[in-house]
Order: sequence, then C-alpha cells, then structure tokens
Amino acid sequence: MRILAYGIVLTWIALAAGPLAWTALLSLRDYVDAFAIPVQLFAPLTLEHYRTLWLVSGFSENALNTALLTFGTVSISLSIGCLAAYALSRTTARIGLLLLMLALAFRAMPHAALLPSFVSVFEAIGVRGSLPPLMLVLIAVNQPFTIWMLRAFFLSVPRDIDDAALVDGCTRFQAFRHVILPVMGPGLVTTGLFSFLLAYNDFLLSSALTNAENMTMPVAIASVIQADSESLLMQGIAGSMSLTIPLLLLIAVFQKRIVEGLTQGAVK
Amino acid sequence: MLRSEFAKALHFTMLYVVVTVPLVIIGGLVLALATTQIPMGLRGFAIGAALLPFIVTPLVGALSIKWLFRDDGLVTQVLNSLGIQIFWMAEAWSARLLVILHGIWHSLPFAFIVLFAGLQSVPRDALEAASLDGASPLQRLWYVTLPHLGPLVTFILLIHTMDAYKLFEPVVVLTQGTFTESVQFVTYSILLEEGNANKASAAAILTILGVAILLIPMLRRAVQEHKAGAA
Repeated sequence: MRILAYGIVLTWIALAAGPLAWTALLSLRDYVDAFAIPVQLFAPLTLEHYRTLWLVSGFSENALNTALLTFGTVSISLSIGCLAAYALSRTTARIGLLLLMLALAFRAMPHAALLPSFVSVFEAIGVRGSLPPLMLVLIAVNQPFTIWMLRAFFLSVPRDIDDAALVDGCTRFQAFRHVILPVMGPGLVTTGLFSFLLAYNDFLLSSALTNAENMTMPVAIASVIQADSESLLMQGIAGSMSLTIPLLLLIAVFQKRIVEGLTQGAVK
Repeated sequence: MLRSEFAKALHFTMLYVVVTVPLVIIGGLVLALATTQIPMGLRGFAIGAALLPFIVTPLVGALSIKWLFRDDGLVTQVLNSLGIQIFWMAEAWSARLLVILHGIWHSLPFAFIVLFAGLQSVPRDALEAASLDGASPLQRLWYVTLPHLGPLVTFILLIHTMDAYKLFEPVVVLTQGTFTESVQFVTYSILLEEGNANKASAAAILTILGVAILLIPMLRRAVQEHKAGAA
C-alpha cells in the first residue's frame, strides 16, 4: 500500500516538475544542443542567454516594471480590502450580503470580458500603455477576491473583542487599527500572497494594456518568443526561468499559507 | 460572424471540460489519497512540488509544455523513437489533445489540494465505526470518505468549468488559436487583432451571460452559508 502511494506521489512530482526542470536545463544550453536531434542528455552549460537577456536586451527594465506593478497592486489591494472586509465581516445590514454576492460575481468574470471597456476608455483619455492604469485594473480585478478572503479571516476574530475595545472607549477605527489588525498577520500574508501571484503572473491584461516601454516580464517573454530567431528564443527560455525562480522561493517559504488560501473557499 | 467564432469556442470549451473533468478529479483524488500515506516530514515538500503546475506563471507553464512538444522537443523525439510520429501543432486532433493535456497538468493540483484538505476532515468516528462493523478499506472509501467529498467535487467541477471559459495562455502559446479556441481568447483577439471594440464588447456580454448561468448555484450556496452563519 505504502509503496504504491510513494509511486503515485513520485510519478506526479516528476510530471509536475519535469517540464520546468527541462526548461531550466534548456536555458543553460546553446540552441544547437537544446533542440538537437537526437536529444542530448549531456551538453556543455552556459550562462550566455541570461547574460544577454539581462544585460543587453534590457530585461531588468521589465523586472523593474513587474516589481512596481506587483508592489503597488498588493499594497493598495490589501489596504482597501482590509477596510472593506472588516466592515463586511461586522455588518448585519442586507446591503452587506448584496455587496458580497456582487463581488463573487465579478470574481468569476473572465478578464477579457472586461477588456473592451478598459481599452476604449484608456485610449480615449490617452493613458493606455502606461503602468498606473494597468495597476488600477489589476487592483479592481483582484479586489473581490481580497475582500472575500480577508473577510473570512476577520470572521474568525470574535466580535466580543471589538465590543470590549468599544466599551473601553475606542472608536470603531481605533478598535480596527489597534486591536483587530494586529492579530490579522496570517490573513494578511495569505491574501497578500495571492494578490502577488495575480499581478506577477498576469499576462492577458498586461499584454493588452502596456506599450513597449512598460512591458512586464511575462509580456516581454511572450514578445521575444514570437520573433523567429534562435537567439531570442533562448533568451525567452532564460527569461521564463528568471520569472520562475522567485516563485519557487515563494512556494518553499509560504507553502502552508498557499495551501490554506487555495482550500479556504472550498472546505468549511 | 461572431456567431460562428463563438460557436467554435464553445464547442472546444465543452470538449475540453468533458475530457478533462473526470481525469482531473479522479487523478486529484488518487494523488490526495496517496499523499495521506506519506509520512508528515515529507508531505510539505511533496505538496509544494505537486502544486507547481498550478502556481507557476501560466505563460511559463504553457511555454515549458510547448518546448517539450516542439517537432524537435524531448517528448516528440522520445515518441518518435518508439515509432510514434506526431507533429503536435500541425493537426486539429493533436493540437486539441495538447491543450487538453496541458489542462490536466495545470488543473490537477487544484483538485488534489482541495480533496486533500477534504480528506483531513472526514469524520474519524464514522471511519472507526465502519471498520468495527467489518468494512474493508475499500468499502470505507466508497461508503464513508467519498460521500463526504461530494460537495467538494461539485465545487471543483464549477471552478474548472469557469476556468475553461478563461483558457488563454495555453491557447495563445500552444496553438495560436488554430483548432482550439476559448471564449476568452476569441474576445481578446477580436479586440486586439481585429481592432473591433464593438464586436469584442458583444463577445464580452455573451461571455458574461455564460458565466452568470454557472454562477447561480455558487451564489445560492454562498447566500445559504451566509444565512446559516448569521443565524
């Protein structure tokens, strides 16, 4: 029984990590070795593609754009989300339920369905292509999710604690700021992680809303790969790995929180 | 015009859902059951690695599959040496199969982790009572564990179907929309490649209607839970 279980788990890990591990190997080879016929198991390794990508092709600009975008999206989504989720977790008014249902509906919308209106409006006021409008869209798209997730964490903090603080003379905001927020650490980390993943991984919205100067890493990788050039393809492979390495670290550090976030909506 | 593009996208989306759903759910369940047999110390690593396809940037995930299935890629060459020659991106059936394979690879971890979490909450006394009554491990699985996971399977089914509408990166990367189209890809390419914002808006509205139908059961469940929580 146990051997079968190990076999199944190991097979899946190989299937899950295999494509990425092979990509990592490709990124360290010359094109002729990477796509040789027959397949080469051993070939000379090189860091050339990483060097060209980061130092010559200006991938560092794309990395900076991604960093700004993710930082802005995470911090603003969390700030707005916290206030909204706290209110929604404490209210008994009917409008609270209505707002939550609306948020759930928007969370389910495919992003492309929102694009036509964003593109037309940004075009009309002349801001399409820069980062701030994209950040605005990502925050908007992310907000329903942040609110739902943070609300679940706020609900796990008993209302009596608020009441005690209010009796002691705190205002509502003071109770939120000094009593509730300090015990929300895990909730903020988990929600922040998923907001980070949304902004960091986004390709659809970013590719539609940025111009050549403001490309994020995924958009830059995609545009590099469309060109029919061996050197650019190899840079794209190196870029894919550059984008993946921080994610691997993130998974290693926050694995428990990621699992918690993924299962929160389902298991109650 | 829109009608035929949309019909094609819906047609592929349905094929995709029908083929991937059983594999994703059964595969996820088998993996979840297997993971419960792994000692605690190794579980963290196993789960982290198992989740990779779901967490990694979707664009990168799709690309890493594409590079394996190029005409000179690893998988194509291994199949070749076994006497199976497939040019994956060249024909309708193989292009569709490739997007479906990618879909299973990408979505199985989500089904796995949800079912794995569900397995932790199977009532222990029910399992013990069943084994006292002489139920075999297989019977316990069938009569106690699986019924407990029922609502989660519905949840995965709904999320997976909604995700099928949203299919985007694998379509762009693997086939550029030939032979395989998703609703979201159609809207995107009408807007940005045809440059027709009006037609794209029409596609967007159709998409929203489609999602709304799927949403009704989820919203109902959420309202019920909310009422149960308030009471």
